[in-house]
Amino acid sequence: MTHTTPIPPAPEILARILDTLPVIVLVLDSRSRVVLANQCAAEITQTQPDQLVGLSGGRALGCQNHCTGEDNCGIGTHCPTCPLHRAMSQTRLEKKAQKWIEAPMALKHKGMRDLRISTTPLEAGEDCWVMVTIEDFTELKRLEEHQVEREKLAAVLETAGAVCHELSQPLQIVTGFCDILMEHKELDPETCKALDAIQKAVQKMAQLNFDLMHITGYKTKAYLSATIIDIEKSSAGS
Amino acid sequence: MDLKKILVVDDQDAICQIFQLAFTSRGYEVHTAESGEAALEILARDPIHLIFLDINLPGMNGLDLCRTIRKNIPMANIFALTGYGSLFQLSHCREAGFDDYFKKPARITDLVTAAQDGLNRLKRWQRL
Repeated sequence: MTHTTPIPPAPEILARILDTLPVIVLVLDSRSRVVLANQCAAEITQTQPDQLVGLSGGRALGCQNHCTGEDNCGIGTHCPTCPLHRAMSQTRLEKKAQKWIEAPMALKHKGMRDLRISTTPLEAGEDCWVMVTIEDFTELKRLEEHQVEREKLAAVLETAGAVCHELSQPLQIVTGFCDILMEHKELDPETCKALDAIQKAVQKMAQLNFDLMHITGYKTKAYLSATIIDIEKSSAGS
Repeated sequence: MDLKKILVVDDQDAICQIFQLAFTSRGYEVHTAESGEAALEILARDPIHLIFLDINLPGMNGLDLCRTIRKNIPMANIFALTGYGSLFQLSHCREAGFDDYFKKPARITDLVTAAQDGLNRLKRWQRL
């Protein structure tokens, strides 16, 4: 006779699945109070799931703006513009799910986070509850931004290297002939002054070329309606 | 042996002209070449001991040219000229056998000083 492990009841299985999900799951009633929270939701406020039940959604998440209004997440000063609040309002109004809304939020225990929110309406008798799933993609976003910065810097370095090499040739020609002309004894003072000015300008261009060769970061500045690289701030010599 | 000769290897004709004007007026005999291969032909006929090379040459690059010259003329004073400078590149130049390294745009006075110092060394070695 084979011994088989008894299968737990479905609600228990579902509860375990909910608690192992790597996303925040909250179920909020029509007054935006937490009816159910999973383990991931509790971890962002460093509590247990059952301690979140009954709290307003904003307070449960540890939203810093929750404190600016009444304890009823949705009427704080910043709340009307809060993507989470707007998503929930729309879900209740239209009885339709909202998917993957990006919402930066300031959370008490974690600081500014980039969140991706989805909502699903749940019928609960005459009430409309909302299930909210929240994915924290802050680290992924930072990695992507860092990757983009690195790619921009790589492109800048490649371009700078090519430009520096090409520019150095005409710079050598100008500076070389200036030096040779300045050695002539019969030059009048005006010509000497002009050659001196040319030489100084060339040396300034040479310095810019040097800075371009030593770019270590990607810093930009405004130029009319465009953005250009700030060579001084981007180079190692700065 | 007449040591007051220089060889300039650069594919930019204007840069070779600058060396011609700057060094001829100082009593040097100036030879120019626009490639590594042409430079080696000149050196095969006349082993010049003061050499300025652009690192970025068509065909054989300046580093390989320096290594070849160093093998054939061990006492040569060889100076690198480059448009793109870095400490990394400098260490490669030293490894290849260059005696000194100039980033363009280099001042005539600096190049003349390097050549003169090289010439003084060669004269001193000749007396050994």
